[in-house]
Amino acid sequence: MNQAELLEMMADFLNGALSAKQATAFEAHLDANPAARQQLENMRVLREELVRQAEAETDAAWTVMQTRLQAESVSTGLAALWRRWRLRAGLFVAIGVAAFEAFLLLNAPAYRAAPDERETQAIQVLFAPDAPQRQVRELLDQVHAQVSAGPGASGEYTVQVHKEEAGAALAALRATPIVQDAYPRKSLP
Amino acid sequence: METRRLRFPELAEEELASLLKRLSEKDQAAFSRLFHAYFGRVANFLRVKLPGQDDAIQSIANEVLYEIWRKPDSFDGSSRFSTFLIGIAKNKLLQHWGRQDEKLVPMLDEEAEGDDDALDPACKSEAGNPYDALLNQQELNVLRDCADKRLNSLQRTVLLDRLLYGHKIEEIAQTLERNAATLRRAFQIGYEKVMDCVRSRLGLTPAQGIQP
Repeated sequence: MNQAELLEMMADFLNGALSAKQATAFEAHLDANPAARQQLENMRVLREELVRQAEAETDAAWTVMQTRLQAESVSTGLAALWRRWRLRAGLFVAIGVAAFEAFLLLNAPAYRAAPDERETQAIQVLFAPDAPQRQVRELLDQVHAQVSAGPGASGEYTVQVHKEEAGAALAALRATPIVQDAYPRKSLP
Repeated sequence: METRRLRFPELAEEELASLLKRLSEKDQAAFSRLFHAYFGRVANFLRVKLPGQDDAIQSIANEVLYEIWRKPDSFDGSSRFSTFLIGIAKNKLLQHWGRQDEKLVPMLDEEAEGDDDALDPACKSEAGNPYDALLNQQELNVLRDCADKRLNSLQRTVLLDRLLYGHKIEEIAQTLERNAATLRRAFQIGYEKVMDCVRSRLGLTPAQGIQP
């Protein structure tokens, strides 16, 4: 048996890869060759050292892997939390946006709302030629009227007021010195 | 004679199937078991392909095992699990080399052929030639240092595959896609380099014989 064959046989022997017959024959060879038995012992010690190195390397790598798994676990947890809460979060945001828009609408100046013709009464108003513009605006705000057309050929403006307030608005307009004439406009047939 | 076994030997088929099933439920204890059983085998394969690049070896081997963590169902049982992992490792290697502009590829076949690997004529011992006993802690430390520093990547891989994982030279040759005769020689040279190193450090010569 040459050195290469002996090393192969020793490796198989240490790995338990020899058949019972082969193992017995190899044991007999070792009994007859103390030097070969010593080589086997040396290989066994080397093998133990290689085991120790391999296990140390694996333990170090596992520590790295554990760190990765922990990081992944945190991100997975956050993702799961997001999946669980995203519908509710979306709903909360939608409600918030709707509430904000409602707030804006409710607090918008009343005269900016477009009047609905079915609920308004048109009044023709002729202001005094020297009536200051500021007083005209204040008067219209006071009677909740909004200019919808004018001035016409004779200088009249058409203003819209709520039907329920039309009588009071007409009276107030007529009572004001800056108004020369005011009368309800008849609807077209 | 007592021989120490790996703390985490290769898994039997049934245990492997059970672990893979637990992996699909993200059981980290199962993954730890699997990782410890196979990391060394994958790293050992990579050691030949990436000589001297311990960080890259660990990183790629971790990536290979992480693939199993991510997709435990990807193993269909049509091959040995270690073979399956080596297949993943080969793909990871290609990606790594792609990133490295393939500059490491030419190194592969130089590994076992250098003058450094030639046997000292005095150490080409036959079975009857003696090797020194390794009896105490000092000698063990010397052995540790020699095993750590004297082996090249191919020799270390073949010694590990042969002595730790119990693979036959022919199996190793198939995995590494190398010539079996080259690997048999790497195994012998690697073993004897370590022993020569030990003997040299302890001030002994082959002629001194052993003291059983």
